[in-house]
Order: sequence, then structure tokens, then C-alpha cells
Amino acid sequence: MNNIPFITIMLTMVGSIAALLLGKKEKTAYMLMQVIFAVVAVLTFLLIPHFVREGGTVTYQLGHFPAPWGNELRFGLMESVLAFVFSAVMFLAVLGGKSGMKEDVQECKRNCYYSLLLLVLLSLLALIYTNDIFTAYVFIEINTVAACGIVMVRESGETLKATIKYLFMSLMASGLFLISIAMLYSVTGQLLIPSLNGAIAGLVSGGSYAWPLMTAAVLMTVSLGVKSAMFPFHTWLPDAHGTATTSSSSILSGVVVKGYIILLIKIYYRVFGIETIKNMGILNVVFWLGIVGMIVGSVLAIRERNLKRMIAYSSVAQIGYIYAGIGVGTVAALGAALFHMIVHAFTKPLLFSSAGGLIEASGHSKLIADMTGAGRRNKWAGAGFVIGTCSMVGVPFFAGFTSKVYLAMNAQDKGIIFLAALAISSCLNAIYYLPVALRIFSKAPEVATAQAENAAEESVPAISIACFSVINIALGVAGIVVITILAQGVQIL
Amino acid sequence: MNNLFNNYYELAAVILFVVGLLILLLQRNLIKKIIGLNIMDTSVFLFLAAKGYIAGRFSPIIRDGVTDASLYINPLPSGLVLTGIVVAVSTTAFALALALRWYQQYHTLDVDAAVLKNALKKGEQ
Amino acid sequence: MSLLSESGRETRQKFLDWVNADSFEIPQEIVFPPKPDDHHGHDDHGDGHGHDEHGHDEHGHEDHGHDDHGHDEHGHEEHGHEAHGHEEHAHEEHGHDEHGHDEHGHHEHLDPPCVPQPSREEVRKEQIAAANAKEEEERRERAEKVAAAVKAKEEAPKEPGVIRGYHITAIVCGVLLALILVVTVALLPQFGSDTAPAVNEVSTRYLEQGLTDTGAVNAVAAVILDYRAFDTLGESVVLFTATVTVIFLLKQFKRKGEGAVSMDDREHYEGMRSLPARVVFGITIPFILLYGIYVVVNGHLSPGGGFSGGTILGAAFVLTHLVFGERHTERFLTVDLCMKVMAAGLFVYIALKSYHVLTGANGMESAIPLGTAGSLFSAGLIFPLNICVGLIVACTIYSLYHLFTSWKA
Repeated sequence: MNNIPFITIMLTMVGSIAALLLGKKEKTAYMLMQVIFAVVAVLTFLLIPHFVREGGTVTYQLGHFPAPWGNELRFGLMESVLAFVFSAVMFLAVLGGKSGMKEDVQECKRNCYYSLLLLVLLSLLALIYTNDIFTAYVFIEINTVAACGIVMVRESGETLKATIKYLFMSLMASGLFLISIAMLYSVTGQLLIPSLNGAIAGLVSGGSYAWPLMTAAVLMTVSLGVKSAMFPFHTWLPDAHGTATTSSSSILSGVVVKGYIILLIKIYYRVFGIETIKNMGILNVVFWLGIVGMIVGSVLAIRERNLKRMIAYSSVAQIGYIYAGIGVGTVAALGAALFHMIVHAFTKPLLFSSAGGLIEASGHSKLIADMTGAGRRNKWAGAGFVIGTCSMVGVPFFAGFTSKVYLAMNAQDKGIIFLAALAISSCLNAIYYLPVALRIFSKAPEVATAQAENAAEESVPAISIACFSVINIALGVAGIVVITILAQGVQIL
Repeated sequence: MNNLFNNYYELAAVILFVVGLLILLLQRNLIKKIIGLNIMDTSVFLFLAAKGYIAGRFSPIIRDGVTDASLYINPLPSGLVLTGIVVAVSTTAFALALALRWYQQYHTLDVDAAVLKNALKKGEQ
Repeated sequence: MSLLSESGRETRQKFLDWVNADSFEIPQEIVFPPKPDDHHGHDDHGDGHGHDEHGHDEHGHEDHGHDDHGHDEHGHEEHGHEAHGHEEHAHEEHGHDEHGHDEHGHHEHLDPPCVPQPSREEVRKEQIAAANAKEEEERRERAEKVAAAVKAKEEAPKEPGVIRGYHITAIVCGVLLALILVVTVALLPQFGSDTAPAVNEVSTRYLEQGLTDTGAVNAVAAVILDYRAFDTLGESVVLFTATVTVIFLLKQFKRKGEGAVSMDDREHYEGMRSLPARVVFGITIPFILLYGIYVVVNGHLSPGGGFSGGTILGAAFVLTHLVFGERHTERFLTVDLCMKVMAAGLFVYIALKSYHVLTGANGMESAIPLGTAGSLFSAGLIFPLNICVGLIVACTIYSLYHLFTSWKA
């Protein structure tokens, strides 16, 4: 049972290498990838009841030597839930983007795409489970290169520009992360997270090396903020997520940015200790950047004419919610932020897959103006989009409503500001989502129906859209179950 | 401010880091941006390698079975630098491949000019 | 250098002259019985120095290469047939090449005709003329488009403020970051002091018990391949990821109907033209490979290891390709083979590492003996892991080099 995380990591690695070798047999590579996603999801799902019963965390030694000398993994309830969510989302997202993938990616190179997707899952699993910051750095690099790769699989001029922007900003952030690791190492001499925690606690109570510690924390925040599109550093996100192929956008928005946020949470809680971060004032800044991000993301989304870019801007807003939740500083708010992370991980791929279907039903035009009546042509995509909209806006019984309520309930002393920002943001969400939802179901002019794709071949994305919708409604209605599990998980942070 | 001039390796590394960062941000040529990225990464390796040094001690290859730890420098940062160099090579390779494709698409390596030209072409169409 | 430029025009003319030259000297002593339309270049067995002015002794090399692949008889006999027959079998000799590169197309153009055959020349002249005309047209169109865009850009109003603001923000942030980092450096522990926090029980144990725990004399190798082997596995995967993305971006499959080639392409396919270079490198490259293998294998005994040794091996492969050209190197070293070797290396690494971790994490003892310190077969798993890493790095370097140089716009 304890070997499961390591086995899943190794399995994904083997799968990605095998997918590259299967150059000619593209179908086999696709099946291999989906099978590995499914197996990883099932295996990590088995861990969840185990940890609910037993509680606590397991420290898994990677090799024959214990903590400060050898490497370790550490996992508990929170990590298992997140790993399960990520692998399930990736499985469904690839299903949802299958028709888009057929058009956007050349057939002879599709196995490289599958290999890159498996590498994304590998790096996410390793980031979730790692107990060492240098291992985290190495897997951040894998994630960066693989994520830029999956944007680039759709070879066009706009994805080229988007990939270059994303790559350079990400690599700059990686450089910052590495120099902060170097600084932390030079003042503490440790790389394993529990040992670092002990050493930093000692330094903070002794009052020495305060400035280097703060610099390291700030640089790590900036670096992971750039990679996960925190407010002032979000400029790469609309280009990258808006121009990529449907499955890539879903995976990027749904899980890749979340992996970095989880690493930042680990650094705040397990490396520095949340009290230290609060005393440095960083948490306050993160909170305000989250609030501003909520509002700015929605405002920028209103002006967009391109459907996918609009959904990408709305991702910026949702990530703002998560950072505001982290910025409050209490463990309960952290649980709410994690729940919102999971909800967003299921909702954004739903929206992107539906958008993919709608785009195909409108003659491959991404402009909203061309999508009149697309929901009638592709019923599954239309229904999925409406469900996603309800969740984003915050209609009761949908997942978005539950997560927003829970965030607002746990906002503690920053409650008023949070509630106000939530209210404004929900109104703004409605302003840009509802017109699209109405437009796709209105009567189409004759010219547009002539361009309609045959909806019969969309059965595979339909399955994915249906699954996401069901999960969304389930989280909305029965979200309290997941929330209690998460609350139990974060207590042990 | 006590160690500022004793830590000259780290000082040089940090200044190179900022130089590399500014090259990455301010240059318009893609290849020069990639060079700036490399300077940034290399400066971090200098920083890390300097962290391992202990004055008056030898490199960490055990000689004649003498395993007294006070004779050798710290081996851990050297391992970190090895890993870092390989990572930097990989990311540079990816960035250069993108630069080649960029040149194929826009026939220029100038980031601003390519964007402008593209916008103009779109306007013409 | 592109054929489309003005200076390229002279180069192309020189190349066409060489292609159409029919003034090869025929040596009187030939090893094989003369056939009326034999390739003279291939007859130069004993003579390493080719008789034609371009130093085509690589035909001599090519024959030896044919011997290895057992295509000898066919290769020679087919040269007796008409010239197009030769070209087809040139396809067959290299038929095992996986990407079916367009060098087959180039291969045709590169072999000089041995005996002037009017029909082939005329056909070739027509082809070249047609290709020239097409290129002229395309070049003119492209130049017009670019000129129009440049003119439009100059006439378009410049965007004020945006570029300036970004530059100022970047410079301000950079200076701020510099100040912060310099102050931090001033407050860090002193360089080279032995009371720094970094000199703690972690590094002490690596040095003192590294030899008994892992059996490796090189403490750095013990750290990266035994204590923290997971990081090294991650980094090998980063190399793999970068190769996957570069393959995706730059790999090109055979395209039909290639146009004429430039002199640069000829260097790419035939290698260096200077004889001293080929002879000297032909002698030294095996020693470089041997040195690389030595560095890889001695990773746990002395400074070295998989990464440095792998780089040396990769550099040797790159040198082979530079000196001897695509035609000779692709017989034993192709990107596909490199990818397969890299995959095999990664699989072996993963298998060994999984065994190591699963035994360690579950409290079982590892069955791998540590051997006596200082001998070659010691240090448990470090020795095979070094070899795997060396192969992975060498294959990555060669694949990246090959993908970059073979790519055509």
C-alpha cells in the first residue's frame, strides 16, 4: 500500500518512454496513455480510504538511507486526493479533446504528444509527493518543458508566439527558484523539507539570517507565482491556454497550474511554517494579489471576442480565488482553497471540451460572434457549456457555488473584503458567461447551419463532457464530503 | 555587511544573475534572450559551487581510504550543480528549437518586428 | 548560404560545373576488371588519395563501408548498369534508414557522372533550369511581400509608450533585484569557512560513511547516484523531455521533389573535404571514444561519471558526423537508434532504481554486493547506473545535434 505512489511515478515514466518508441503505432500509444492514466487514478483512489481510516502521513524512504541523507516521499490524505483528482482529470480531458487533437496534431508526431502528456502527469505526481526541494526543482523543470511542449503540438504561428512567451517566463522563474534553493541551502545546509523546517525554525527563533530567509521566501513566491499565473505575472496564460488544442488547454488550466500552487502551499506550511511567512508579510501580499487577480481577470475576460481566450482569462480569476484563500492564512481557509482547486480542476476542462465541440460546430471559428446556435448543433457541448457556466457563476447546487460559499465562510478577519470581491467577481462572471450561453442556444441564421459538423462523431468528447458534468453536480450537492476529507488532510500539514 | 567582500564568488554570481535576467527581458533578438537565460543559469551554478568550498581542503575523492571528513570539501553542492547543468542544457535545446521554428515562420529573429509584421499581414488580409 | 542570394548564385554555378565535369582521370591500374560504364571513383581502392580534383577518396571509404554491409557485389555490379540504376541502389544501400531522409534525393545529385551520358545530362540540365526558374519566381514573390510589409511597417504609426514602459519596468525591477541580492549575499555565511551551516552532519556522513555505505570512492558519485539517485533519474527524464520536444519540433520526414542543393548541404552529406582532417580524425576519434568510455566507467573511482563521460562520447559522435558527413555516419548512428538506446538506458535505470527503492523503503536488504572499494566492479549499483547515464547523455547530445543540422526550412 505504501509503495503505491512510487509505483505510479515509475509506471508513468515507463509509459512516457514507451509512447515515444511507438512512433508508427499511434493508436497503441494512445491506448497505452489512457490505460496508464486510468491505472494511476485507480491506484491512488485506493489510498484514500486507507488514509481516511488510519490518518497521519507516511514518509517513504527512497533508498536505503533515512532523511537528511537520502531522498523521501511523503504522502497523506491530501496528497492522495489531489493525485487522484489530477490523474482522473487528465484521463477525461484527453477524451474530451480527442476530436480537436485529430485536427490539430499531425498524425506522424502524435506519439510525442502522448509522451509529453504522460510526462506532465509524472511531474505533477512527483510535485505532489515530494519531500525535498531539489527534487521539486527538477520536476518543476520537467513540468515546464512538457507544458510548453503540449502548447506547441498545435503547430501554428500563434501557438509559437504563445509557447515562446510561456517558456521564457517559466525559465526565468525556474532560475529564481534555483537561486532561492541555493540561498536556503547556504544558511541551513539541508535540502529535505522536514530538516529544513527544523533548521529554519531554529534560525527564526535565534533571529539570525532573517534577510536571506525572507529573500528566499519572496523569490520562491514570485517564481511559483509566475508559473501559476498569479496576478501581475499572468500575461502568458491567455495566449498559451487560448491558442492550444482543446485537450492541452484543459490540462494546462486544470492541473498544471495547480501543481505549482500545491508546491507553494507545501513551501509555506512545511518548509517555512505559516507563522514565519505571516510575519514576513508575504501572506498579506499574496492575499491582495489574489483579490486583484479575481477582479482583473474577469474584467479582461469581458473584452474578449475569442471563446477560448475568454475561458483562459476566467482561469486567471479562478486562480485569484485560490490565492486569496491561501492568503487568509488559516488552515480552514486553506482547505477551502484546496476544494476550490479541485472544483476548478473539474470545471475548466468541462468548459474547454465544450468549447472545442462548439468551435467545431461553428465551422472552426473561435469567435463568439460565429457561434450562434452552436449549442443546438452539438447538444452535448452546449449542455456542458451551460453546466460549466452555472458552476462558474455560482448557481446553487453546482460545484462553484459550494466552493465560493465555503471560501467566504472561512475568510476569517478578512471576511468583508473577501465577500465583496466574491460578489463583484460573480457578477462579472455572469456578464461574460451568460451572453455566450444564451447565444449558443439561440436560433441560428441559415448560413451558419450549413457549416455544421456532423454531431454523431462527437461521441467520445460527449462521454467526457457527461462525466465532468456529473462530477460537477456531485461536488455541488455532496461537496461537504470532500470538504471534510480535505479538512482532515490539511490538519496534518 | 560584513561578508560582502569575502563572498566575492557569490557577489559575482548574483551580479551575473541580474545581468542575465536583464538580457532576457530587454533584448529583442531571440538568440540573445536565450544567451541571457544561459548566463542566468550559469551564475546560479557558480553560486552553488562556491557554497561547497571550504578553504584548505581537497576535492571529495577519498584518497587512500582516509575518510576523515575534515579533509574534504562538501560534496553535495557539486551534485546539485551537475543536475542543474543538465537541466539548463535541456531547456536551452528546447528554446533553440523554438527559435528555429520562429525563424521559419517569420523570417526574422526580432521579437517585436515579427509581432508587428504579423499584425500588419493580418491587417492586410 | 542560400541559393537564393546573389553570392549563392556563384556558388551554385561552381557546383553545377563540378557536377557536370567529365574530366576525371582514369588510373591505368585498376583492381577490378574494367566495365565500360564503371564509376572511376570507386576503382580507387589502393589509393587513398582520389584522383579527381575534389578529393573524392570517400568513394574508397564507401567501398569499405559496402564490405561491412555485404552490399559489395551488388554495389559494384549495379554501377555497371545505367546511371539511374546506380541511384536506385543507392536508395537500397541506405534503405534501412528510418526517416527515409531526403538525402536519397540528394544522393542522386551528389554522385558525379563517370562517363558523360548525354541523356542524363540533358535531363539534369532541364531539371536544374526548371528548379532555377521556380526558385527565381518564389524569391521574387517573397521579396515583394517582405518589401511591402517593411514599407507598411515604416509607414504605420509607431506605438508610443508601450515598449518604453516595459523597458523601464524591467530595468527598475532588475536594479531592485540586484540590490536585494547583493545585500543578501553580504549577510550569507562567509565563503570557504568551515563553520558554515552547510558543513553539518549531512556532508560529514557523505564523506565519512560514503565509502562503507555505497562502496564508491568518489563522494560526489555516491551522493548523486546512491543517496539522491531520484534527483538524477529526474534529470535524465528532463533530458528525455527536451529530446521529445525537439523531435516534435524539428524532425522532418522525407519530402518528395527536392530542389537543387547548396554547397552547405554537400558538406553536411559528404563531410569535410580536406584530406588531412579526415585522416587525422579517423585516427583520433576511436581514442576519444575510448577516453569517454574510460571516464564513464571510472565514475565511482575518480572524478568523472556518467555526465562528463557521456558528454565526451556525444562529442565524439558529433565529430564523426562533422568530419565524415551524413552519408557515412548514418550507417551506424541514426536518431532512431539513439532514441532506442536512450529508452533502453532509461528503462534499465528505472528498473535498477525501483529495485533499490523498493528494497530500501520496505526495509529489505539489497542483494547487490558492494565489492571492494577501489576496484572497477564495486559500489553496488553505481557502476551500471553510470553506464546508463553515460549512454543517455551521449545519445541526447548526438540526437539534438543531428536534429538541428538536418533541419531545413
